[in-house]
Amino acid sequence: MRSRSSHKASASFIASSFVCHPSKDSCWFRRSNRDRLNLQMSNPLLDRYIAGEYRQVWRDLVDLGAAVRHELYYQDATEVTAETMRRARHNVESIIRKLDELGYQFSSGVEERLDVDRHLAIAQKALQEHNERLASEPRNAREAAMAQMLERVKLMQQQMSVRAPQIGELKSRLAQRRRRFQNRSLENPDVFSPPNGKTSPELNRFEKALRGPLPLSLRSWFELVGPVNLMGRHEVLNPQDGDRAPDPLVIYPFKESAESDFGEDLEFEGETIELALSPDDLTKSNISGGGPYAMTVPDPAADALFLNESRNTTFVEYLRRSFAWGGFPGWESSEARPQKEIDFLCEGLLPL
Amino acid sequence: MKSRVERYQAGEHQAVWQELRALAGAVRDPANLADAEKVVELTFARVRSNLDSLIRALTEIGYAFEANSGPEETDWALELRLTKALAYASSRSGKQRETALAVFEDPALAWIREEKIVLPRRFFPHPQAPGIRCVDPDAATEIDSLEQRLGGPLPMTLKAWFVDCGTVDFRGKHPFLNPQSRVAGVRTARVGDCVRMNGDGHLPLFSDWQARIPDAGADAVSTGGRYFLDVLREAFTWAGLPALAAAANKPQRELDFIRSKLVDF
Repeated sequence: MRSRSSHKASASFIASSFVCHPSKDSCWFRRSNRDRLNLQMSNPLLDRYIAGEYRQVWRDLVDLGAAVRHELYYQDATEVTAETMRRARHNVESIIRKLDELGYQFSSGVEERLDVDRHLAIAQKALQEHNERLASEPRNAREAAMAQMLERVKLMQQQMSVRAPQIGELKSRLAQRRRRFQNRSLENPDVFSPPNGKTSPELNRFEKALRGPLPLSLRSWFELVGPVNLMGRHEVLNPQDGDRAPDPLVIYPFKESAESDFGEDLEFEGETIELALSPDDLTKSNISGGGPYAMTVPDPAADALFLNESRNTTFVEYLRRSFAWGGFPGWESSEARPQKEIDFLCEGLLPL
Repeated sequence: MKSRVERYQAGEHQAVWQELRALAGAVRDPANLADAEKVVELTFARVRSNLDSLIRALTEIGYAFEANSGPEETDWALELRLTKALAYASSRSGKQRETALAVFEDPALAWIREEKIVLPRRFFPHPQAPGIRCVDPDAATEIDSLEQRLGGPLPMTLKAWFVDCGTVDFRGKHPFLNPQSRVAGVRTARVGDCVRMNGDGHLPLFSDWQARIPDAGADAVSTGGRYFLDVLREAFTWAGLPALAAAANKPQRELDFIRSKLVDF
C-alpha cells in the first residue's frame, strides 16, 4: 500500500498538471495516464473503515452496485470485506466460547426435528379432541378437512413407529456427540465449521454453476468465517416453548444449502436463485414460520438483501445487529430480555 | 510551413485555437475558412470521443445517471409501431448487423427521423432516445434557420457542438464522485430550445454560460469572455461535474481514472 504522503504528493502533482495554460500547449491529460496506477494502489475505503466509518463505508460499497468489481475499487472493497469478516469471525468465536461458559446447550436443530413423534402426538391429541366435539359425520368442508388431517396424522404416526429404532439410534449418536464437545463447542462442526482448503475451490465451482458471483460479503463470510449454528437451549437466552424468538445466529453451509435445493449437480434454471442461508426466527424457535433467510444470487454487488428478515436489511447489517445482541438479535424487540447474559456475550466484540 | 490542420494534428491544440480565436470574423475569409473548418471538425471528433469515453467510464465506475433512472411512461401506440417495424427491418437484413443500432438505418424506419419520434429510453445511445447524450438529427437545419433569422452566423464551435455532440445530461449520483447528487452535473440545452429561447443576442447553452450570437468567430465566447472550448475542457477535467473544482475533498481516484480515458483537444 502506498504511504499517505506519497499519495498526497501525487495528487497535488496531478492537480497542477490539469491547469490550462492558454499561452502554451499543455499535455492536458497525458501526465495523469502515467500516474494512474500509482493512485490505484491506495486503499481509502479500508483506511476509512479501520478509522471507524463502518456503516458509511459499507453504504458506499453497496451504492457502487456491480461497479464494486471495477479495477478502481475491487482490491479496496475486498480488503474491507475481508476485514469485516475477520471481525465477524472473532465475534463468532467469542460468542461460542462465552455461550459454553453460560452452560448453553448447543443443538443443531436435528434433535428437535427428531422429536417429530412428540409433535405428532400433540397434533393428534388436538385434532382428536376437536373431532370428538363434532357430530359423527362432518357437516361442512372444514370439518371434513379436519377429519382428513387426523387420518393423515395417524398414518404418519404409524410410519414413524416403524422408524423408531433408527431414530433412537440417531438421537443417541447426537447425544454422544454433544457430550464429546461439551464446553468445547468451537470444535464442534455442528456449531462452527471454519473454512478449509476446499472452501475456495468449492465457492468457485458454485459461482461457476450460478454463472455469476456471490456478493462480496457472502463469499468472504464463507472464506473467512464459515457455517455457524447458535441454535440450542438455555433457560433465559433461548428458552424452549417460550413466546419469544431470540433468532440465534445461523448461517448454513452454502454447499449443502444449494445441493439440498438444486441437487449435487447444481442445475439452476433461470438467471437467479434464492440461496437459503438460515431458518427464519420463528422456525428457529420451533414455531411454524415463514421462508428461510436467503439471498438472491448471483449478485456482483458488495452486499445484498437478507431476504425474509423482518428488518428488510442487508447481510452485513443483519450480522451487525446479530452481534449487537450477542448473537441473538430477536431479543431486540423484547423488553423482558436477559440483559445480563447479552451484555456478557457482547463484551469484547468488534464492530463491523 | 505547416498548415494549422497539420499543426493541430501534431498536437498543437491550444496554440492553433489561440490563432483561430485571434482571427475573429476573418476566420471565414477564403484564405482561412477551409483550414478552420477542418480544425473544428478534428476538434469535435475528439470532443465527441471524449463524451463517449466519459459516459462509458462513469458508467463503469457505477455513476447512476439521472437521465437513465426513474419511471418512464409507455407510449403503447408507439411501442406497437416500433415492434412491428423493427421486426420487419431485422428480418429484411438477412445477416447479422454490426451493431444493435444499425437496424435503424433501414429505410423502413425512416419515419422515426422524419416524424422526430422520441424513442423509449432503452434505445439509448440512439440519438433520438432520451438519455445522457442525445443528438437532434435536424440540428443543422434548425441552426440554418436560426442564422437566417439572426442575419449572421453562429460561432463554428457551437454549431459543431449541436450537430456532432447534441445535448448532454450528466446529472446523477455516485458514492465518491457525487454523493447524494450534491454536485450539479453538466446539462446542456437542446438546439431546438436554444433556438426558441433566443432573442436577446445570447444563446444559453449551460446554466451559467451563454454564447454571444451572432458571432462569425471560430470559437463561441460568453459575455464574460469565457471561450466555449475552455468551458468544455474544464467540464471534462472534472468528469462532467465542473463544480467539483471548488469541492474541498476531491475524488482524486475517480478523476484520475476518468481523465486517463480522455484526449486533449
